[in-house]
Amino acid sequence: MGASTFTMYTDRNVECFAVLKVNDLNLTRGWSNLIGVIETDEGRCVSNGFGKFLSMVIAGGIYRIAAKFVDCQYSSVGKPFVTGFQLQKFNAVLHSIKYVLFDSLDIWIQQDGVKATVTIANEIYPAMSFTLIDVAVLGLVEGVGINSTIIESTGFGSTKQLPQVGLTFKSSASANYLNQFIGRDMKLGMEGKLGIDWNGIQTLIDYTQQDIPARVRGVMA
Amino acid sequence: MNGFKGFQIQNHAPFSSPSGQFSAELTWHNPSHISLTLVRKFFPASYKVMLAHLNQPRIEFDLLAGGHKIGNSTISNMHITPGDNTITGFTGSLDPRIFRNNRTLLSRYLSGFIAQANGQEFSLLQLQGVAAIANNREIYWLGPAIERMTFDLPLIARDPAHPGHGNPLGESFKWDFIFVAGMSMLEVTNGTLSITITLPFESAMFPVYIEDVRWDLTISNHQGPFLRIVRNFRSSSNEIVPLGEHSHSIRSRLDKHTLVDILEREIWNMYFTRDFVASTVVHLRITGTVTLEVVTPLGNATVSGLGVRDERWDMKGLGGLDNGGKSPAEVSYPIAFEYRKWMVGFRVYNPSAIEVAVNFQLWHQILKF
Repeated sequence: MGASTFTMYTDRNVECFAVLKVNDLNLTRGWSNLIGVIETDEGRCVSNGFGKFLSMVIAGGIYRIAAKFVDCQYSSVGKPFVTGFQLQKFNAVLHSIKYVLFDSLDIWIQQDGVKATVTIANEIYPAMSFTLIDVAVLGLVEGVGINSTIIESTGFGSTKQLPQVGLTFKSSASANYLNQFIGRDMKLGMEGKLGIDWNGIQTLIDYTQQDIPARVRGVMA
Repeated sequence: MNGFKGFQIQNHAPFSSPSGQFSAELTWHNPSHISLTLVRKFFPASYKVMLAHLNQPRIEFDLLAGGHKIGNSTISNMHITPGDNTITGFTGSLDPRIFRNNRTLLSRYLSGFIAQANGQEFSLLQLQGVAAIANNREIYWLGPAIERMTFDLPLIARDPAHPGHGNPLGESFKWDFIFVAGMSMLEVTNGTLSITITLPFESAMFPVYIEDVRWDLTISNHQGPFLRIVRNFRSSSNEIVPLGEHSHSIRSRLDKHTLVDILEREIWNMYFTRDFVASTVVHLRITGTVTLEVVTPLGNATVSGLGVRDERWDMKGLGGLDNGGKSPAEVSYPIAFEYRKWMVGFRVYNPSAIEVAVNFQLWHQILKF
């Protein structure tokens, strides 16, 4: 078996964010659909490059990137002479689904203030840690936010409730405004920055998620 | 008059009559300032005159091929002035029986038409002067000169479809190869090569059936020739289709058994593959010959001389793996399967006709071969 190695770059072609290895690079006429593996332990890329990749993947969408053919590696017969492909750089596009990171949001209106409990979800194998949540809550009232520095890890396919944190408000009026929602189930959005630690790769990503199941509970002031 | 050297038979349709009779036009450039007139009646010449007042004048020639007489011809009406002349009263007889079952002679004769159409010097036929006669007597002042004359007689075939007598292959090569370029090796796996051949000697009276075809093609780039394709095939595979009176379409499928030689590996490695991967168009040139085994009413023959020199072939390249920027590669839907490893779909667009296989198995396979 032989693998062809490509280095992957962000759109500006400066930051190598990953190494892509493709076995049996067979290019027939037209589009060829191949399977590849993106790795980060090659030492070919800058340390924060993969964080950008993680950010693009988790946030989802379509990104213009670039790739460069590096070489071929073969298992049994030394490195053969592959001509023409070396260092060929070309345009590429990265498609990613949007990974869901928030499972639900509970807002607690209490005597000592309005609190929030965020339940995170993880669709990335095998586990991922959150180091920061700094988001605005959308769909409730303007100026409501959650800001929490945490280190919580959750395994693939599981959810975890984060420690309760205080909800931030632009004004006290907006806190009082929440009373009318007590007992109601809603769909809210969250938009802002998330700190991610993926087995030592730390990155800050811009993240938006809509339609997060949310409930407001508490007592009338 | 330089011994009448430079006669050409124009619009010759070989074997167009069962008896071998033909009439044709002769062209000749008269380098002298002297006019010569042979007519059936008195002709008053009004300038520098070699006056002939002759009854039934004619100049007779033997028609030779390779030193052997194969017919005769007569000029019965000639009016030559200084410069270019066309002589219409040229008739003759070319005995077809001489060609029957004489494969060598027939092959040379038919190939001569191809060579002539390709603009090559070719002399199969010669005219040898026999006599100049009028009033049933030799013209005393012309006869001895005629008898000493022997000169080549090029045949320019009749070709109403393509006046101007171009290359019978012209630019009719069509290329559609799929190579497998694995490692530094190369193998043709699939593809077609087609040409349209015009046979200028073919006519309704002289139909030609193409039985076998052999290509021998050399592909060059700016560094020189680096690839050779040789292919033999029989028409029984229905790859040869008549296209009217003169033309045949020959479409050859290339496959794994087609012989492809890399002539200059360094050019292949350093220039062709690099250009092929990086460029949307690779500029190549093809030089080659096509040889036909044909069946004619006079027997079998080998027709050679069909070919092209330095025909341009702009082959599509990989376009830098993104089709010159028009078709960016796609990395799709990363799914992590362990820390720091993501499975992705990888799509690359190959706009060329060359299948690229960069893997070990193919290399191993070719080495075994």
